[in-house]
Amino acid sequence: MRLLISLLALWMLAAPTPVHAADITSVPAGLNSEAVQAFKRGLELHKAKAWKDAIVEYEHALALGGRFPEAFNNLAYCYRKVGMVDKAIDLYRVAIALRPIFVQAHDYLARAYLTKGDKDAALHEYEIVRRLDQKLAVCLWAAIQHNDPDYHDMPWGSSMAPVPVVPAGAMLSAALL
Amino acid sequence: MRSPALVLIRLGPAIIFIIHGYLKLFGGLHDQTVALFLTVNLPNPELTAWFIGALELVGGVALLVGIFVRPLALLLAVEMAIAIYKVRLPQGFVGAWEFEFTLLLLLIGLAATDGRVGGVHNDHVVHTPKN
Repeated sequence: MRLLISLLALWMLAAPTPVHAADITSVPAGLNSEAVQAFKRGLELHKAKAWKDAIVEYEHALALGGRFPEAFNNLAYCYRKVGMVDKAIDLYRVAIALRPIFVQAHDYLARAYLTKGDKDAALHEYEIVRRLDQKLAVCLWAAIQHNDPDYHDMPWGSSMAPVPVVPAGAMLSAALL
Repeated sequence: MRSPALVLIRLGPAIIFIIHGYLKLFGGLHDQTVALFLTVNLPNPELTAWFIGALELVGGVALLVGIFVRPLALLLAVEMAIAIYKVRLPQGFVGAWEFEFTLLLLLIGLAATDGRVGGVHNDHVVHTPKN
């Protein structure tokens, strides 16, 4: 009986956990304030699409010990935007190593592979995104279909942009991959 | 004689594995688990995710009630070793993305394979009567 009660309590503890898209603007607690300030300056420049200046600030944040997934991901995004795709891919991989189910990093990495013309690698990343964020996956699939890395690129996450209309047949073939 | 302290050590990972196994199987974390396995290039990620969820749930219950502790603890320890190698090692030992927790589960799992952390079968197998 005690065992049954224990198992019931565990079952109640293990309530389903919703999957939320990561916020690429978040900063982990416990970082030194200079690194946080540099990261936030980087974010402002990033939002203003001042890619080169944002790179300087993100690099500064990393040098000050702000080695968290969002910093690597955002830096990679800026490098991709200035055409340094190989560097961006390396940084996305670091972000993903730190947080393996970082959905935006997978999305952007797929787009970086698309830029390099590596569609197989992009589709592998798409498979991961499809498991984590359906809305983002629809946008990424549209980008792959259009062979355009910037197509429905959402720098601030899936909640910030409209979802493209994708033909049902295209989504079915995506699901069957 | 079974030490209550050692039984408590067995129950810690039992609770952790039951909750994690349940979440992977029934708690809506299956897709996240598959995504993780795709990320670290584990073979057959879909099937592996179901297997790992079942292993954690069944292994956790086994640790809780003390049956088949040795083989299941060994399997769970192997799982933790793979988790450290494939996922946790690049994240460092301490900090927000540490592998210390996984290492702890691995070591307790290995300790449980010794057979002296309690359990119905272990008592019969390991402890020979004194003359």
